[in-house]
Amino acid sequence: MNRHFTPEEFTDALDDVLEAGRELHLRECETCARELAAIREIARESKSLDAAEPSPLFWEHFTARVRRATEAEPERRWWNVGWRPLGALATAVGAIALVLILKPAAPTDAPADELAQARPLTEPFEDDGTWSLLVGLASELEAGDVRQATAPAAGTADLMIEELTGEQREALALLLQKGIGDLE
Amino acid sequence: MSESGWLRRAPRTGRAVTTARTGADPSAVRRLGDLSDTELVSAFQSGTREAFDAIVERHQRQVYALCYRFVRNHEEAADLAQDAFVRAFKGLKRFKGDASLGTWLYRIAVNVCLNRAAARKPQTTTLDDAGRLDANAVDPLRELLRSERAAALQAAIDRLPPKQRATLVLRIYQECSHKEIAAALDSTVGAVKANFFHALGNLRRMLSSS
Repeated sequence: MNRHFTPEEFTDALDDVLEAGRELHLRECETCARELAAIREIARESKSLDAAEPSPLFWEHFTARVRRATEAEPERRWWNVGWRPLGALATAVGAIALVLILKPAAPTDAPADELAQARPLTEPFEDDGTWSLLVGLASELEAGDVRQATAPAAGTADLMIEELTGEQREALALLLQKGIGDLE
Repeated sequence: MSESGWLRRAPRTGRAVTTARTGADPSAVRRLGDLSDTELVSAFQSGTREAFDAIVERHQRQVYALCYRFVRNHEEAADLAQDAFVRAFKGLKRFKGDASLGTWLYRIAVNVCLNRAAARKPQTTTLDDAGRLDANAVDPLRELLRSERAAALQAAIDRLPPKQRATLVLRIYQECSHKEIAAALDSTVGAVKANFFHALGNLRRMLSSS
């Protein structure tokens, strides 16, 4: 094979790692030999271009400068990124799951006479503890958190999920699946 | 919520928090300086913020030198290098070690430099930068010619396409292997070798035509 060098072969030749069989071509082909010599000289000249080194004091200042810049960055731990909406969401899912688990089976078809005798919604009903629990949980939430959980700012969920480790994502997925599964 | 392992991750000590806020404890940074890159990354990901200071101290010269070769201005190179390290700080928690830390930092620095290059007009070198005839030099004329040649070569490097320039800088000045360059530029070894050849070829053509 006596084809001219490919660009990759020229680079290998510069590094002196050319395949043994191709070195023969270099000895026989004046074009490739001339090209290789030219780019070798350019590489050598480029290497010799100076770059002024900064003073040792620069490095001390630079390290401190980077530290200040990174300290200005907020620490984005997963529980800091929208933790309150996550907490509100988890509480809501948990409360719904509890309601479904604890609530007695609702009658499928209420007889007409029972419906006629049903108490008006304005009258207090008998609380078996489920409603109190739900109210208690909901009272811990601020309205803003609930709004944010149900209508988060664009990208909030992505940010939250991005901050989670694989193990944390699995745990969140299980929590949500349980909540959604119970709703179904 | 039930107590699972990841909820009970040990918080950093108050001393570490104080140190992070008021400035790194030099002695703590020196101890961290004995750790390998892998160990420093692991320490940082576990919450030791000072580990990042040690990473900066270890790699700042290389990152700065790379940035300087792009912009050839100390202040701008310092800005770019700082930007690169801030980005590294933000992304280090997700660093998985697929490439070496140094290569990963180079990748960030190259992207920072390429973004800056795309946003501004390329800095050009004029022959005025070559200096003047130094009558005290041993061979003033030869020194002037050498200086002009160097300025012309630098100007040619400035005009290279960004990827070729990045490849040239990483290969010649940072002495990275083709594999490392491929990782830094998200390319292949073959493409890097070809890019390097084309960069040198373009420099040769620009110099011969100037």
